[in-house]
Amino acid sequence: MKRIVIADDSATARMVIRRCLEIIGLGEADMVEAPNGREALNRLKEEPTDLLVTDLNMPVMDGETLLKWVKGSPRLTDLPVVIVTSAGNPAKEVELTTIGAFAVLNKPISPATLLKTLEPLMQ
Amino acid sequence: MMADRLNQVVGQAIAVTLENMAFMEIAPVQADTEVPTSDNGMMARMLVLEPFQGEVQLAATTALLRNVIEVVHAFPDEAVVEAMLSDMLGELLNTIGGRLLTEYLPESQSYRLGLPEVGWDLPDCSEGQSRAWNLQIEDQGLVLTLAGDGFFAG
Repeated sequence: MKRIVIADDSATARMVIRRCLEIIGLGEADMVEAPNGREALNRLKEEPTDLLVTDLNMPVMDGETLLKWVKGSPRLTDLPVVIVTSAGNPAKEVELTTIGAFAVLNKPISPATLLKTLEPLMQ
Repeated sequence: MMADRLNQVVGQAIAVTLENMAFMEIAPVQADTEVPTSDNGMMARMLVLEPFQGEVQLAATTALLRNVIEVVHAFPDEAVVEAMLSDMLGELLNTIGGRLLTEYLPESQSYRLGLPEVGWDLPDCSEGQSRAWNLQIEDQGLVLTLAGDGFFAG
């Protein structure tokens, strides 16, 4: 993967995700951070991106709205979107995967969970 | 029975969060543990919006938050500014609160949380029963409070 966009309103959460991505061998990728969905969308439009990792609860534009925009955009629709959230549950997971999320992970994430999730995309 | 389960879920939510984020272990509070106050610590609150109205509060000493930041961000202590402390506490609360509700509510039950707000002087929105858990992480105190009858129903 060459470019990964990480969206979360918490700098701490973005750092935790970045660290996990580095640990699982994606440290070479250009990791672009965004504090909300709107900013993430702008970053996604700048350059081709291989993965979007986003939180759900964010100000300005939340993760679910961001996911809908991505899946509704002909240019971005194939982009794998991993939701990392503290507000996940089976019902929400079904809803998000129906919209097009590649995976929904509960915080706190671990490198092992992330690796298992991203393995199909890394091959 | 319900209190036992809540104890277990609270302990687990805090332990998993601190372990995954900062490789830290929690322990029961000791007599000499530094307890967070408005002088030596910070407090964050987050509303539970659904399926019941409640609030999750987390208070921690700034010394503990600095330690966690040092691990997560690999920042030297002297480079840590107040915004980072607030952000760390908010993210800890967000993660612990979500984990706690995921484990505590029935699997098919959805829930909705507000955004964390940091500050000692925030208005207290919670009503009904409340309970606090005092824990220790590396000699520093952490207090989690749950407020709202929904946490204690059943």
